[in-house]
Amino acid sequence: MKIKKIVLYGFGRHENLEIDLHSGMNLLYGPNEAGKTTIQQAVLHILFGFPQKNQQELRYEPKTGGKYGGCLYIADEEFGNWMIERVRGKSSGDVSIRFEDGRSAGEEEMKILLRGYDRQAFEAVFSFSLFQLQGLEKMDEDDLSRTLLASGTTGLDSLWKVEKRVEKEASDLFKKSGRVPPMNQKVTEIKELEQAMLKEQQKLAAYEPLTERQRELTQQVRALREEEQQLHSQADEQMLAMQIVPLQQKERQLTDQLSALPDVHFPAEGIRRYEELAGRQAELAIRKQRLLKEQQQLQTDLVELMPDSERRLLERLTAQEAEWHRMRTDTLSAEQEIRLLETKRQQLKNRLALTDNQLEAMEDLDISIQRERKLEPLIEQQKDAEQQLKALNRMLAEAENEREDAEQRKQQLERQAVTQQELEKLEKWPETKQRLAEAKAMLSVADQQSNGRLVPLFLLVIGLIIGAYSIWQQQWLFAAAGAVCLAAGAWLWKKRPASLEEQQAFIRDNEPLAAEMESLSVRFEGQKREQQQVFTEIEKMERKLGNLVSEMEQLHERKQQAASELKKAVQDDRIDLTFTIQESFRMLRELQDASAEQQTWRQRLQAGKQQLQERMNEVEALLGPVPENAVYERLRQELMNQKELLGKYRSREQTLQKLQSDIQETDALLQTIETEIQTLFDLVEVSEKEQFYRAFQDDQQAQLLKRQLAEIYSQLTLYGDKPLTADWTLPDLERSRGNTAERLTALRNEVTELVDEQVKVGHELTQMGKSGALSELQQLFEVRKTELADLAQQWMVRKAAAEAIRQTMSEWKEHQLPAVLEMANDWFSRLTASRYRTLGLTAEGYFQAVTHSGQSFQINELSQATKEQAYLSLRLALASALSDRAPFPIIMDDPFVHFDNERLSRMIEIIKELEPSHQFLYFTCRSDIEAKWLSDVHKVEIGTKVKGEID
Amino acid sequence: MEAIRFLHTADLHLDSPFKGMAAGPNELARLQQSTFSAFDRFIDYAVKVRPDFIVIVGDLYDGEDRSLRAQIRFQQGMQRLYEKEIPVFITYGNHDHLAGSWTRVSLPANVQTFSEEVEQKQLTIRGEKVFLHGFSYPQRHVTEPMIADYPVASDEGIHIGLLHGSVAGDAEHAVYAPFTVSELQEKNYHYWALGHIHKRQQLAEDPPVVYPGNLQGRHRKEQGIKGFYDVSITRGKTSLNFVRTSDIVFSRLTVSCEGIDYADDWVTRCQETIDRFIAESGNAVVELIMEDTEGLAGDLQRASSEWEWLDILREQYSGIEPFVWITSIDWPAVSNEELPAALLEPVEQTLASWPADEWQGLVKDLYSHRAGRYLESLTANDMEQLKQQTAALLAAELLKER
Repeated sequence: MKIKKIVLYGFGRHENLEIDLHSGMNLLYGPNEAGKTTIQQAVLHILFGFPQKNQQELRYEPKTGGKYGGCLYIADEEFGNWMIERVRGKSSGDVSIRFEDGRSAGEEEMKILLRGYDRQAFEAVFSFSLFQLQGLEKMDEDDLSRTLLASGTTGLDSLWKVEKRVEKEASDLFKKSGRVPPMNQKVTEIKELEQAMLKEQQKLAAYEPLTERQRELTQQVRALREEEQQLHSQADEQMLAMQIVPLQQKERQLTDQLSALPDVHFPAEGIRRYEELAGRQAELAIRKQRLLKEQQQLQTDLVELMPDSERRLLERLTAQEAEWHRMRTDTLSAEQEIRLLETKRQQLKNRLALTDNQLEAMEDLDISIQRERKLEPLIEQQKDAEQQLKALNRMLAEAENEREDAEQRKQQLERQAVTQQELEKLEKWPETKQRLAEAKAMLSVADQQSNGRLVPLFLLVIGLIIGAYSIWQQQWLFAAAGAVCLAAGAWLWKKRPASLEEQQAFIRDNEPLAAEMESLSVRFEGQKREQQQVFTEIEKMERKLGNLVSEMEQLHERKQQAASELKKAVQDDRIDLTFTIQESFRMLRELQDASAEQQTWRQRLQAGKQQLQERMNEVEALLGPVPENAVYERLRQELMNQKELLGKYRSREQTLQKLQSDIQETDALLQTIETEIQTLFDLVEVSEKEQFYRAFQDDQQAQLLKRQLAEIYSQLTLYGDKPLTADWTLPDLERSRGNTAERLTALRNEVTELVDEQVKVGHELTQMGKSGALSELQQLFEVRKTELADLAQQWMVRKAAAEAIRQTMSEWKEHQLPAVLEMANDWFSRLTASRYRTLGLTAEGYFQAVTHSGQSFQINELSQATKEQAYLSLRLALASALSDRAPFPIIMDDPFVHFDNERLSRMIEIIKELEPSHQFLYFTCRSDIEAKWLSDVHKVEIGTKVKGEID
Repeated sequence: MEAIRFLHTADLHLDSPFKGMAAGPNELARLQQSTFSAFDRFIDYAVKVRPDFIVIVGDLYDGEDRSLRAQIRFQQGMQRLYEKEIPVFITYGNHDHLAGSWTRVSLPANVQTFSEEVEQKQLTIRGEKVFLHGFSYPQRHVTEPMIADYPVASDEGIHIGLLHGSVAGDAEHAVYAPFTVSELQEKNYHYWALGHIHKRQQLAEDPPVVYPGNLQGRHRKEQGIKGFYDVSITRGKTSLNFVRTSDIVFSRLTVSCEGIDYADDWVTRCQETIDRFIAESGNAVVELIMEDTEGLAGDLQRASSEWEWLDILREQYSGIEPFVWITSIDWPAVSNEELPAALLEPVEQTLASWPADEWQGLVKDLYSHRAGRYLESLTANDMEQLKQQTAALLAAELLKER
């Protein structure tokens, strides 16, 4: 098989490249970067496919993006000439093979055309570079053998792969010390199942003892149940006894009690009857008592009524009421009179300023008119004298004052040069004027008796007003007038009026003078001749004073005379009657009259009072003490009262009579009832109520007991004739019952426990019986065993397959490898000029080179070139040995660079020997190589047409 | 004279696990239930027809690890018969021998058990005396021919022999109380009720020497419909009536793949085959044997593993009634035509050249491991099978490589 032509449409830097090749040696020369390796790779790519894009190998796709791929024209001795083309398509490229006759081949046929070789196997033998020659020392016998064998026989490597695979599958199925492989797992599983089965069986081993236990339990329970039955009947009897024994006891007790009771026949409804009677009796007794009490009360109530005589007196007295009132009025009026008179008397007495003694004496006093007339002139005389004296004294004092004033005025006038004329004129005026004023005053007093004192007061006020006014107005004249008024008032105040007639006369005399004086005074005032006036006045005053003094002496004498006369006239009287004789006498007389009248009234009063008293006495005798003024009211009231009482009395009398008859009736009834009660008592042979009741109670008790007895008898009859087998006493019975109950409880507990266990055991047994666990486990165990057996079979089959392959391969190795090795030895020896005799395998399976002298070297101990040579020898030997089955061209990429000339020559010799049977494609950058080939070589220069920089 | 009627069954193996079944828990439960179902059918039948008596010739249970459940189910069955006053005669076999230390459930009074020595039990049915001869296994193995101990029948009455064992010289089964048919015939019994062999068979006609087979298949090897015999004996004449009890039938079904191109057609074809079978036999556990697979597209065979196809088919029948479980699919060996003979041949030759030792050495790792305890030791048969399987595997694997 030879490549006739390489056509590259586009591959790496090459584009539309055609290289014709010859059989035998083809020397493809090109300098560095000419694209030698690219062509070598192109051949491999086209034959075995473009590398996957993710693979390390370069795909050499044209950078220009043009057509990718190429084709090889091949001359094949076995299958004829064919052409293989590979272009861009699927990732390994679209391949097409065409034979010379135009027939195309598919993938399957391609495999045959390529003798079952893939790129790896091809490269292992037929295509190598310097780089690929290395690494031989790392190969051991097996690897080498495999490499050699695999690359040497079509499909053998697949056998090897199968071996590898089934071996792996086998160890995936089972590993001696593994856990993960399915068989190991299965075994573990089976072992676990075995243990589980064992456990289950052990569990089931309890079945027999449990059945035994179940039987035991059944027996025990049965025995216990029987006992329980027995105990139950025992308990029943005891229960019965519990009911009967108390009944029997009660019966006995009742009988005893009954016999202790007296056997008396108590009348039917005795108690009710008795109680009715007793009730009525009590009722009647109460009624009687009430009647008696009423009676008594009525009887006591009668005392209040007056006797008839008294009542009549009362009636009479009441009839005399008018008289009584009259008498009372009389006395009252008498008393009134007396009081009036007394008042009068008292007035008089006071008026007369009488002492009580004087009053008494007054009775005897002579107050006759005779005497009165006798005394009157005397008193008048004295009075006059005294009056005159008084007036004189006053005048004297005034005169003195005036003189004094005049004296002062004189001195004033003297200082003011008061004229004498004026003084003289006025000297006479004051006297007159004074007298006039006095007279007027007197007159006004007499005129206005009641307000006699008002004039001086009026004057005083006027004076004051005038004074105040004039002082305010500075009217000195008016001031003086005011002063005069004042003075007049004052004087009048003091002065007591003398005789009216005198005064009137005086006034009449002096009235014109007053006007004259007035004018004089005005004139005097105007003429400012006051000094004169003063002098005259003083003089006058001196005279007047002299006159007055003599007059006074005269008067005094006269008075003395009158006084002594009066004194003589009244010297016997105890009362001084002298001051106003007429009045005194009149009053005295009045006094005496009043006294007498009073006396008369007193007597009349006395008589009236006496009459009243008598009447009172009469009344009080009748009614007791009574206030006088309420006498008749009381009497009337009493009378009414008495009348009412009388009515009441009469009705009460009637009531009393009725009561009496009621009482008698009640008594009769009581009698009857008592008899009836006695009859009852007699029936029961008792005499008293208590006894009767006791008898009744006894009877009741007896009845009750009898009833109870009857009840007990009836109950006892329920239990049949002879219900109890033994005579029990209650404590015994209680004890036995307790025991029975206790035993029963214990027994029940026991039974419960046993039954529980029975149930449990039964359940367990049923569970065991039903349990498919063991069978399931057994089945599972069988299944697993089967599965294991299946796996084991697979394992064994794989084991056997691997082993068979191994043995076959080893057989090949043993026979075929030595032949290759021999050839390799031969060549290696030649290459090294017999320096190394053999290239062989150590006992450990590693390659070694043995020198001529028998010294052995491991491959890695050889020099680089020698190593390469050894490898080349092997390769070529292999290729030679395989020439029948795989007649591929041998493609070398400058493998001889390290060779010296001698060895190179020998190498060329060896290749030349191989040339007839093999085509060689030798890529080199060394131009001298061609020269080394002594014979013709087909030389192809690469790179001449090529441009670009990429290798 | 009215016929004596009895039921003959053996090898109940109640509640015994199904061997060689790698099914899911639901299917397993269903399978396990089947021995009970079969037993119940047996009892139902007995209660219905009320035979004069019943004989059960050994292997009521599977062994020492018999479940309590099984015993109680058995007891309940016996109780039902007791209520109908049907006597039951039992011999215990190699699987439930008397030496066992298992828990025993007491059985009702109608059940009579033969002791470890050959003995005779007698009962009178409608005036006719019936003699039963038999023994129970005293221990697991009874290899001596017990037949010698069986007495020759007297003229009186009807004689029935109960024997749990295998025919002498039967290579297929282990030797238990071996006998020959002629030995049996020499005893002049009216009926030989045998047990031990699960496959129903009649070894002789006159008198009938009968293995009733078990009530329910428990293994892919115990194929077909299972049941018991309803036997009627009138003087000199015996009639047998087989009564089906098996709840689930084990079967091997052949599916022709002729003309099938696509996977769904294949599934349909398989289903058709199965459906046809279950319509006839009811619940089934089937193995499918593929035939005529040449036309089948290569990738149908290779693209998915055998298991995947199995799963696909199983899915079609999961959770439906009648119950169907597909244990396996058997594919014919792949033709090696496409393979470079030169590659496979040397390997096959290597395989073929292996002696047994080579095989033992190969699996030493496994058998020396504790896993070995749970694996059957390799027989020559196994080795041969392994060889074939290995070759098939290699071929398949190499095909994948191409």
